[in-house]
Amino acid sequence: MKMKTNRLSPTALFAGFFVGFLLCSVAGRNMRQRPLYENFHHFFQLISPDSYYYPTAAQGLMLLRQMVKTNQIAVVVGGSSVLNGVGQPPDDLWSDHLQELLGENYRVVNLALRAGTPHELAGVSAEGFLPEHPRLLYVCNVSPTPGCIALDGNAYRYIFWDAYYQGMLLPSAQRDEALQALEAQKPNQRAETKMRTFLNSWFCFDDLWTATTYLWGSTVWTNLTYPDFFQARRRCRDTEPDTAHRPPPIPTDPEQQAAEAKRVRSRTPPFPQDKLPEVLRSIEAVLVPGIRQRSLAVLESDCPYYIERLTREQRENYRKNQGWNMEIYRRAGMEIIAPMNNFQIEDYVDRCHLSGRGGRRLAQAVAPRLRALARALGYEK
Amino acid sequence: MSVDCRGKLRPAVLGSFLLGLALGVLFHYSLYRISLPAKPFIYFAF
Repeated sequence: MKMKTNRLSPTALFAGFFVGFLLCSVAGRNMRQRPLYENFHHFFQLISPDSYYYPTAAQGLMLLRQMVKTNQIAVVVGGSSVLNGVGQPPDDLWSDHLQELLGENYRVVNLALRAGTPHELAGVSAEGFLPEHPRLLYVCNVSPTPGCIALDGNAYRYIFWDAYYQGMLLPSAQRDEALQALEAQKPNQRAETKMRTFLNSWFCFDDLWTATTYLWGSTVWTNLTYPDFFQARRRCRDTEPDTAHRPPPIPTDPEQQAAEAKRVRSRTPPFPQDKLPEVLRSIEAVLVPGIRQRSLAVLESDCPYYIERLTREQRENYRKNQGWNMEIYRRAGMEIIAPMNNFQIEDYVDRCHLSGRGGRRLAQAVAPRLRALARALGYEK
Repeated sequence: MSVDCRGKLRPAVLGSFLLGLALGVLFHYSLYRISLPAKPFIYFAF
């Protein structure tokens, strides 16, 4: 009887596996250090987590290195969809208007993400960039009502831990304390995210395959890229609708309108002042001193259509809560402005997002305050 | 790795190496892929 010969060589198989994995890790590390984005203005929907595109912390930092020249003052825009520019068509983006108003001495980089918090991608990128480029300003939007900010973000916690394990974050005793408290309170709550980002810090798989998605083609199906599901995201265009020709920002669907009104009403119960120290501590833990002193926070305000439909008492409470939030951010050592309090219905495309007109008004309000902050910090005379 | 008397790599060894290479790349990709959520966070503004 003839013996079967073994067609596989285990040594060669494992050697191949090791070499393949190693080559991918080296390629990922290389991707971290190369400029990736072309003609970048903001993270629009097809290069956002909505479409399975999860930008990494290293990519945020690389974007700043790529876009900001050494003689320019970096203006890093963080926060949520409001500052991301949701509602503004590509040629009417508020951060582009801000760039025009500030001139060539400044470079505005919009790293805000939809549903983002005041920190997340923009915050960790700014922290990573600060040691090599101290002439930096940070802009973010904050809720109309006071509330604690999640230490490692909300919808995109991986970004914080990605930066954490890559050593991008600035040292902060307050943040370390808060992280220890979080771990003691809910041990292993972030175990999966931490494991993923720790492994990524060594093997760079998120960096490689996200870059692959951007440059050559997506490996993940999403209906948002219909009909060319797997096209390279660098070929995708910003499809934010042109809201200049839309009717006023009032949903025609009564259910949606009721839901939006309810959301605004939820911001009217008086702020319990005994919570102030807790909220202040959370802000100080998330936004470290190096960022806070360079920050300008923009207080959000909902569309007047909804504010006007509150009772008088609710309206007063809404404005009082805004006042408390401004007070808390000032106590944290941050500049804060509330230009949206004077905006009109036409400045919005829905309950909270700004139209092209609203974006232009926001840029006009932010630009002089940024110049003043730059002067106060000694960036320009 | 086995090399025959003429100094050539045996096809089985080469094949095993290439298969391992592909598995290594696949494993690297799977680390990225399994960490993506089953359903993306969809943010609808309108």
